Amino acid sequence: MTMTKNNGSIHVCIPACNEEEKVGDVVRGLRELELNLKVHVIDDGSVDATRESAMKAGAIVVEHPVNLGQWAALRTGFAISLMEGADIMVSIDADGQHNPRDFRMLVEPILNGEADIVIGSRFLNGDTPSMPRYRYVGIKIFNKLVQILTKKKLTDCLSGYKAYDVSMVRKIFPHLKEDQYGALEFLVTALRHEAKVIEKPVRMNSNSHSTKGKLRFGYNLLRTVIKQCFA
Amino acid sequence: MVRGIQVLGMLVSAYLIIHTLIQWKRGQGFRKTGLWLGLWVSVGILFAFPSLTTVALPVLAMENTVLMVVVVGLVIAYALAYESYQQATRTERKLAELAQNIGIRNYLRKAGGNPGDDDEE
Repeated sequence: MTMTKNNGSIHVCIPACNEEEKVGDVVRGLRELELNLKVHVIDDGSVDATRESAMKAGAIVVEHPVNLGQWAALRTGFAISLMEGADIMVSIDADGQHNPRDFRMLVEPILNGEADIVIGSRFLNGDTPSMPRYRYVGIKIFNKLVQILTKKKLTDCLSGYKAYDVSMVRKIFPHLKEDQYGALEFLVTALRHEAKVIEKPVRMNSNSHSTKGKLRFGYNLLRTVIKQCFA
Repeated sequence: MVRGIQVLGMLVSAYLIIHTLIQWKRGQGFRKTGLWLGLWVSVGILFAFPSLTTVALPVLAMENTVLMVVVVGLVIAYALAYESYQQATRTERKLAELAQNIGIRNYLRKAGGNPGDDDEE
């Protein structure tokens, strides 16, 4: 089955760093959907067999020679999607915390013209996702900050499971300044450009390896949000 | 009478002036060369004529020469540290851009595309 508009395509971008154990399953899970997807794994300077695992599972691997961070990997994914004229780009974490079965739910609102960005929210399906308390609190704080800056109420602004209308990405891209930790800058800039952002509930597999939520990650996100206050 | 510390100070200043001029010959910008030369020449003059610092004391509203030298030195050190930080940030950004471009170019080469097209960013 093909879910495309304007004869374009759906690209999937999976930023991965040292995820040899999980990345293959994520790619296979996406391929099982039979949606004619172009799956790019952005190997962000891994020192393990992430590249081989991804390729074996059928992904196209783009390699950063050194580790640049998750947002830089996503930027590379955006650049490739823009160059290749994709219609939609979906980002999904390589650590297996997102369920590929929720993929259609994220993509359909864009195909139907109902949204420019669809965020897979871990907080909308009724369950409290299993994550450390500090991370839970951090997400709530950033949701509130985004709301203050843009008047848009979100439940999971930091979710890595998002679908983007690439034509909107093309509009936003020249305005982005952050090389790393730019996820919130992107979201705030998109909302300020009147992008339609909606959330859909997604299931989450518990994952203890994620580095998101660490102090440095939180600090850098806060820094980018503060910059947005003066942008 | 010239003291040992003055000679040492002037020698260090002379070395740094020569080093700055060499960097200029290697292509360092006029503005940067001027700034560094100004700093090293000032340091050299202050070592050669320490009494000049007493002229600066009332201007800076300070009473003690040693304290003035320490405070001015610290301000200059902070300014240089900040400049180095900015330079490191710029270099880091350029390296990140370079690494991303290498990734995209290699991808395009493998995919049979045109590597010249990768300037979307």
